[in-house]
Amino acid sequence: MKTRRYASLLALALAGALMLAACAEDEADDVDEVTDDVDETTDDVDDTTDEDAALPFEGETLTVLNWNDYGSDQDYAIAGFEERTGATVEHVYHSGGEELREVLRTGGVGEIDVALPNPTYVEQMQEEGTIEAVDPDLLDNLDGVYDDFLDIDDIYVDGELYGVPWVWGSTGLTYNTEHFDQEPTSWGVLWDDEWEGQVGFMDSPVEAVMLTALYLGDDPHDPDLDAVREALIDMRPNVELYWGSSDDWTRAFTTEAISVGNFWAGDAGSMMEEGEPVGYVIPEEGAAGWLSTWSVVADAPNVELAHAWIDWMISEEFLVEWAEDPTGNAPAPANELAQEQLSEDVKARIQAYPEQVEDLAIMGSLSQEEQQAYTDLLAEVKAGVQ
Amino acid sequence: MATNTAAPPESTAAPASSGDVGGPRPDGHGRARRQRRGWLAWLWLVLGVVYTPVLVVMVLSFNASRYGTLPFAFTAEWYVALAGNDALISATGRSLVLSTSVAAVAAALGTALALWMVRFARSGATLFTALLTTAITIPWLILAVAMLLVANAVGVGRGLPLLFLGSLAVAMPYVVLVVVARLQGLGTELEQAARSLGARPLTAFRLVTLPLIGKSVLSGTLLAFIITFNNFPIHFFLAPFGFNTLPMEIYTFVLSGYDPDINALATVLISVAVGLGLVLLAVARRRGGDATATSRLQEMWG
Amino acid sequence: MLPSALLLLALVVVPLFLLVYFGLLAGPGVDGPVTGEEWARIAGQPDLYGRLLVRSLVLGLAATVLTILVAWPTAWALSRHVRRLRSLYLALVIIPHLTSSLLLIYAMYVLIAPGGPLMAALTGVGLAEPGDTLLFTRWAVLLMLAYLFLPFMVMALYAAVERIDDTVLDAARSLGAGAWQRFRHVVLPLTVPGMLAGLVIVFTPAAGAFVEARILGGTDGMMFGTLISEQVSRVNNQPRAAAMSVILLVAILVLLGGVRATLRRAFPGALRGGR
Repeated sequence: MKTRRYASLLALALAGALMLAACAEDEADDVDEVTDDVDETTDDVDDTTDEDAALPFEGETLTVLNWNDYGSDQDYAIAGFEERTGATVEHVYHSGGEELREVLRTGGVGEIDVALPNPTYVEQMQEEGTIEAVDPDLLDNLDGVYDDFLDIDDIYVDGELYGVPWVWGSTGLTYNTEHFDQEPTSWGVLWDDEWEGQVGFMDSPVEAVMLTALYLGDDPHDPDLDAVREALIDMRPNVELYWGSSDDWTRAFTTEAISVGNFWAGDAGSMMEEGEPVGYVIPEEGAAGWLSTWSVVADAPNVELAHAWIDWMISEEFLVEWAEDPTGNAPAPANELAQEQLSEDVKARIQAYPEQVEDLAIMGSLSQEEQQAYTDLLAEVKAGVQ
Repeated sequence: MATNTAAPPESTAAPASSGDVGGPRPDGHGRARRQRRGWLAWLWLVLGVVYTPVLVVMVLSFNASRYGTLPFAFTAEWYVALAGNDALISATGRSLVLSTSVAAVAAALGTALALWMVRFARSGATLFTALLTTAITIPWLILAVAMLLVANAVGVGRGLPLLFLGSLAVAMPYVVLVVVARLQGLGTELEQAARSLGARPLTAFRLVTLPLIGKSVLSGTLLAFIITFNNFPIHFFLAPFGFNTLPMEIYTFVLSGYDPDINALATVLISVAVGLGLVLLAVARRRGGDATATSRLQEMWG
Repeated sequence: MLPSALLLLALVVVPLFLLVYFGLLAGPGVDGPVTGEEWARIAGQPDLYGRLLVRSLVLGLAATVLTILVAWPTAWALSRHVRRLRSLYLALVIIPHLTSSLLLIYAMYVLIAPGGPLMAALTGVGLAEPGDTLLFTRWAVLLMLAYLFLPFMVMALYAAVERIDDTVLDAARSLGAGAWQRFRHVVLPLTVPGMLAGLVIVFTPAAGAFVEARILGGTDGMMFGTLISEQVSRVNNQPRAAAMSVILLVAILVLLGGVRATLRRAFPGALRGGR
């Protein structure tokens, strides 16, 4: 399989040279041919599913677009699904929401079945036509999902469900218990001179704006951006690192380069379990919460199989197994039935405390303009604008 | 940092010794030797700085600790992990295939263009020289963004053809410059002599000129290979989804957390580079292909 | 010739000119109407764009100067004090850069990370506190850029130094020039063309860098190039990416021209006879 891909690439390389001489017009035709092939295979699929063998999707392939190492590519996730359906699972990875959208825009549609876009993007992606509505009747396990999450407006467009809640988490105040005499209760510590050069702050425009709005007592979904900018600029001398990944944070924290900041609940829980002096709290102002939702990609090669995958992903069997895997980096499950089966230790590690949800401002969908404004704002702060 | 502050006094001392090297004199022999040792020490210092990060990674690839912490405990487990890391291995494979194919096409097109520029072009050569220098001196980031936006505007978007052509456009000019530099030093007398002895133009080229420029074509090809292998901005902006090259894979690794098997990969790649470097050295033994390329650049900008 | 010409025209020249046009469109794609709004937005935030542009240019220049300071004596030592093993040494300087620059950035990350080998050594001799780090500062970016482009400068200066005829030095000596005078008035001017070539091949990519800053720069190492790449990969504002690319390119060319003119004035005659 792999060698064939290389060979085809090599052929393509040579074709590229020839194409140059013959002008680059024919390219579009090639693309059409590829999509034609895909259409043919989907037709075949429909035929076979009607016959309904022992395993409904024997010999089919499901393509998943997700972050690397985010649950769906665990061995037991794939094995469990393949046992149930007989289909093979392939993964395509992305490294951020924008990249996910771009992958779908530039060839992913028609090739990929399911993706995990942030609800922030659901509305824009529906407009772009890169995702399509989910049929709730095909998802038996939807019953277990907390109503809190199913009530969120942003996963619906025109009353139709576009994102199926999978796992959730919060970005709370995380601190070094050896450096704090008592648990901090307010985001105000991030602005406190005492922690100059000791703060690790997440390099995410949305998180930064929401957190600051909460701290200022403003509406986290529609804040006064000038006030937010000013506050973030005030905080800058305290910030040692705008962290981009869990690894960034962990390295800086364990070497005591930072003492306090905003960090993901699940990752903080893992650090606690490893014996690091980590404390995690949802401050009195509340915190930003996030939700990962599965979506069916528009023009998916196999829509039924895509629904089967989502149903497996939100099932208690899978979510419990993932949560109990100490190296799985699982966040809290959005399925109540799964949460109830977890031991206290596991709940603490993945911070599966649904009572926190009401204190959270769940990130909602943003328009292109808002996204640009937030990104520009954080860029200004990071660049050191006064 | 200390090495950098040491540089100015060293360089001002340069002319003092230069005369002694020009013609060793019996009276200044001891002093000359002492100075020579000083210069060699500087060279080793620079090499030390250049190799420090590389050696650290090599040592850590045999260290058991996941976070590179001491004490050092020997292990080969990261090499085992590397062998099972499909993402890194297939990314390396993609990078190799891409670089090889780009280098091959760049060599053919570049050599042809170089020959044409030196032998046939009159006014066109100046235009091409300007074109080539532009291609070489624009930051890759800007070139990549420009290519991507044009592809988006045309409606092609990211994809393998774009990745291939973009890499080719960046790499080919280097081949041309290296080969042109060699051709200009060559003259046409030998080929003409062959023609006057009855050889057809193509035969004369194949039997006389090609062997003479062979080395520079080879070093130009190697250069094109290295540049394509390395060209992260082009990969980053033009590669289609799911087609992560090795630099892209490392980028994702470093930004989103990594395992030490990347140390093992670095060790393997650097060892390969040493081997490749020695080949390059053998090829460019008499005439440094890269040095002639830069002196060519120098003429254009000087 | 034709394929090569087409290739360069279609993928280098035309796109570069089109950048100017794309920058005038209304985003996010490159199919909107011409409004020039992105230019207005950029001009409206000189504090952000100006600052980052200056930082990129300064970092690029500093990296160039740093590489000259290290590469000049290295080139001299190679050319005048090593005979048989010359190409071996030259190869040794270049070889790490035959791998991927991302690999070298990663190696530098490991070296200067908090608690990493360099910091541990500095703490050991009392030069740094535990928890201090070079990582995530603009110094880390500068160090990385200088490290990455050192071989280019060594090659450029080596070619220049190699061309200096020893008889010129002997002549200067016989005319009574001292060591400093020979260096200042003979050797240095003769290497100015080499430095200029080095300037072009080091400053241009260094000022246009973005990965180095993204990985090592942290809070205050952000560069103009980082922001350009974010416009494409994070917010998908293609016209702004185009406008910013034009700004960066023009700034680089202007600065290169300025440095060339300055050197030409400082070393009259050095640039006339290239050889």
